[in-house]
Amino acid sequence: MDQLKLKNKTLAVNLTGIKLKNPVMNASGAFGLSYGRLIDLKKLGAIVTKTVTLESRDGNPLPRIIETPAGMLNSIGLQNPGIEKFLSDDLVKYQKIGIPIFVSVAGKTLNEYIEITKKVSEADIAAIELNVSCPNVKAGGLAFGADLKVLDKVVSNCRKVAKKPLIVKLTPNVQDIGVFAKTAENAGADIISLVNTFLAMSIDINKKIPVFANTFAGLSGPAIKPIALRMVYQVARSVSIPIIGLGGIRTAEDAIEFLLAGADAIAVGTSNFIDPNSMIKIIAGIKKYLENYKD
Amino acid sequence: MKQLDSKIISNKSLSADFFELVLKIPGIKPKPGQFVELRLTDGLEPFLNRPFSVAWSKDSRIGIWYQIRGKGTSWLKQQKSGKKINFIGPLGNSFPKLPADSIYIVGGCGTGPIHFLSTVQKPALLLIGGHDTKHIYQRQAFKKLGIRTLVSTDDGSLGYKGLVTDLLSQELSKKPYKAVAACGPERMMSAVAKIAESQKINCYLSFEAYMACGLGACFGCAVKTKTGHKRVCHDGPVFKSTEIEWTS
Repeated sequence: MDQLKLKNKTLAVNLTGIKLKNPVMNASGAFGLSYGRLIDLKKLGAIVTKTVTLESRDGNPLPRIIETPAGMLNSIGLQNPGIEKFLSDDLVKYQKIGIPIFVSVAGKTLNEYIEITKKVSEADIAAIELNVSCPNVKAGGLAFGADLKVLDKVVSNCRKVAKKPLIVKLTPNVQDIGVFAKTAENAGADIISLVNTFLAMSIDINKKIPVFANTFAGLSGPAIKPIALRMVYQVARSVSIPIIGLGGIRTAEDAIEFLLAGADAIAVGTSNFIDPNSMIKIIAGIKKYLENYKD
Repeated sequence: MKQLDSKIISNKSLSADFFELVLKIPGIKPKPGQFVELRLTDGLEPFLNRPFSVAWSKDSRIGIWYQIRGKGTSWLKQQKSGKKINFIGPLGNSFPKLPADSIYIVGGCGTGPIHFLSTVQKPALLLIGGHDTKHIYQRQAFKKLGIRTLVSTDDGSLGYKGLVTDLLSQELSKKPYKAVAACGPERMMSAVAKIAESQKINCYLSFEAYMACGLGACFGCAVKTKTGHKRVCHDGPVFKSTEIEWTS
């Protein structure tokens, strides 16, 4: 079998013109500025904000999280202060750090995606990440990113109004992730990021009802890593634009698997909860691996 | 706030189902109401860290009182002095300064936060409620602080027979108190809130919640308030009772 190769032999990476000093960032929704009290945020390659929507959202009722073997289920419901408050109060705190900021956005309708992309484009940020795992309320709740035609529409329309590089974060809850990645690329995505959480559920056997009010929730954590890795491998062979790979990454070894699978950069989500220093350790581990890397 | 591998100074049982873990945490000074996150495994099970209230803090040590609930606490019970446990803290907000004429209420295993608060601000009166004698915890610890304490048990096996909230109503009718602080099951805290608010007394409650990050990032540990969901780990765990939107 032919050996896999790293796309980048240096710690510093260039994602379609965005320069990162290393390929490590956090996953949207699994990190916050409060981590700055425990780690030096400036050391990260980039920071991805929690998904922002046009209007403020209060999120789902409890319970919102439960633990699973080597992972967790979440149904937070995109609780966020809304784009206006984000731009006026929160963004400046991110900008002060001095590293590239990727702002994650979402909407309930196509128009909301377009509108929020327009608004965020005016801000001094490095890129916009489209969270297309949100249910399309006009299409019976199927995620925008789970329908090829809808995905194409969202990406191409947002591409027209985005004045910043566009990252499309794919939902893994599809049959052929490569086809979805290709569709996003053709529609104008500059970067593909994957995976978002896997659709899953839990049942309370005493109350005899699903644990989550919305029935389904998203699975994340080390348990999903082998599947996420497989998907990154497939997407790397479907598109030629840069890829940010994520899904259960906990250690530098995990991260390197994703880089060898074809990712240009990686993101860490759930593992930040169990060890806030995860990303710092991963950066050090990748650096060490590169020192001995030959191809 | 720090993340470090803290050393276990001691880990003993105080009664059949109540334990005290003493950790060495140099340079960390928690305040009453705050909590810490502990990693209760050398591996991946249980996966998430667990939040624990601080029951007392002295020099570079803190005391954590815990019960056995599942895999994490069962593992914790086995750990011996000298073992290092990954620790993140102190986390959350703390109780505000309360007037001397305050009543503190503890229900079930909500003793930790109220005990820590008592070491810093003694109440005029402490009420401890539980199902029966076995479920009244740490009376001696509060006695050591010289606090006037009344106990209530549902079955009357110790102290007043009935709910601690009935005891609260009774005591409030005897003399005016200026504030109330409570920690215990949610239905107890909801009843305490109602009683305190009806008498226009400020009431502070210490909540608990299932947590993932413990740092305010994931929004998993929300509690419903009159101004939307707030994070127990970041906006709490201490909330003014009038903020809360009770779900039942």
